[in-house]
Amino acid sequence: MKSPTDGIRIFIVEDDLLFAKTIRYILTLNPDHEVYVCKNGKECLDLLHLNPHIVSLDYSLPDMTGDDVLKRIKAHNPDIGVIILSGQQDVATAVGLLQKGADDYLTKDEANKERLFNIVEKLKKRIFLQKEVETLKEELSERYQSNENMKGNSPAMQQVFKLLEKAAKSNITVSITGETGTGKEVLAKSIHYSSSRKKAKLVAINVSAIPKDLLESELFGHEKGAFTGAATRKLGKFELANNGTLFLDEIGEMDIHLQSKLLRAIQEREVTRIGGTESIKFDARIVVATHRNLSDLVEKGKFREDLYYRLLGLPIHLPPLRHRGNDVLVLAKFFLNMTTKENKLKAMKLGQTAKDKLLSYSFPGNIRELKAIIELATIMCNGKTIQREDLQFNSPKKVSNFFLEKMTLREYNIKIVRHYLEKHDESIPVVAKILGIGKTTIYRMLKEDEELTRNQP
Amino acid sequence: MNLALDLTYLNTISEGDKEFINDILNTFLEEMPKDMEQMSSAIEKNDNVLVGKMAHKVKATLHLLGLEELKSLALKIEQTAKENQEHPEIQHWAKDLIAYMDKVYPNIQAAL
Repeated sequence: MKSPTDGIRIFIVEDDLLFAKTIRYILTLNPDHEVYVCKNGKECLDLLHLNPHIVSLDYSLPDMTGDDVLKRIKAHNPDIGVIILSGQQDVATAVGLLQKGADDYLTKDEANKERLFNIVEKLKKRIFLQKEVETLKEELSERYQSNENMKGNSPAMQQVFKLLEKAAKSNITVSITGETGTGKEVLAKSIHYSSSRKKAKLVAINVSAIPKDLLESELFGHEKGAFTGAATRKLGKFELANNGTLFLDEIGEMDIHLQSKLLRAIQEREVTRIGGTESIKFDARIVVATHRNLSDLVEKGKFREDLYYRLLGLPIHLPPLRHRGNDVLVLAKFFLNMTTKENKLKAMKLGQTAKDKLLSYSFPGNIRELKAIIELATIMCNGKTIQREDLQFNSPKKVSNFFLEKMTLREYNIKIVRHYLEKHDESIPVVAKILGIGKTTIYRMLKEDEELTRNQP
Repeated sequence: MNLALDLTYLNTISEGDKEFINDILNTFLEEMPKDMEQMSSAIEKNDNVLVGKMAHKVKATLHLLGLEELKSLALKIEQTAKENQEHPEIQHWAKDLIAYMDKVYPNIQAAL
């Protein structure tokens, strides 16, 4: 269900258009309400994919009974609040529907503003509470995972842990840099959940994942009617992160025009919703992350220098996995245990050949790639021990990392030959010509390699 | 039969929003003749169940416009049709309702 902070979606299921218009008028007096009118039961059921939070249901519809519609709504999502609207003489039936899952009832004669608002507000409170519980559960689980995921014994990571501790003890803005897949978001979560703000929300937004035109509204929110499509008031991420942490991922991708607005918000510690006039104060720690070099972007004029210094705060650089030595194995074991548990597989361990292969690989996709490799290996592995051949490196960047792998000259030679054979439909004459060697040399190399592979433990 | 409109309810909820009230009155002028047409057709077909359903449908609308006596008539039709669809007076009352409604339309026009 859509977050209640984004607006409350209410369906009015009513065949009497006049009455429906009146109820809609009352409910839309609150700008947070997004109200739809359905003139019969079928129309309501057809629109349930829009996930209403509340349905005001006329007990007596032309095509279906209120009982039928109620059952179908609750089967779709039992959390949808249903208010039965009935005539005075149908109260007994309406009350009967309360036992079947309806949340409240109202006679049409009594459907005045106060009564209707009271019922809707009561349901909204319940929805907010449910949402709060869900969010807390999710956050608890994320917190557990975040702390668990921050693993590593390498000196580079020990330095990261020291800075994490300093960040957690203060309110300073933190700027995280590191290649894609090094765990920038995990670090941001760890900072939040280790800080005094951990009881409030961590609100994350990936700047590069949101179209330029929508980002402003996502960050600062908007008032109802601020632009076409702004059907309800929407709170921005700054407001939602109040007392907590706002994590702006891929900050380097932000449009230069929006950067000035971001700078103003961070400097003034207040935002104004699009289409609004009220300045809204917020108190949130800002954590930003990027895989780019922001100072380069400043030099190229793509990132504001004043914003750069404002966001720099405590810089933490996450090292690429290839610079973290044995952390590869620590993380591989962690992901192996996690994957087997999650998929209810038997316990597995890493064989020596697999460990050697992992240690000799450069992981251009960093931890994210390692996790994917281990997940696939648990599927490929036929026994309890992951072997070299169970690990498949499919990174599109692997050719550029060719020389980072630890191999003997013979292994390099065979790798080159196999690469060209694969590229040229296994044609030995063509590859021999390209590489300037004899065909017999290629046959001999392939035969030797097969024998060596067969004799490997 | 008192057929004078009482817009207190609409004025109260909308705090005198003339645009909203006019929209409701115009909707009444568009929708009610269709409902009365259906009721008339149900009478012709001797379908008292449908007569009762149509009476139910217009009841809340009549309440919104403060037409309480007409609403009571609609309620009587609905309840009687529910309890005994063979009741000899149902169609007579329904015809009365339709006739009264014709007299309400000019009052609505005047309120616009």
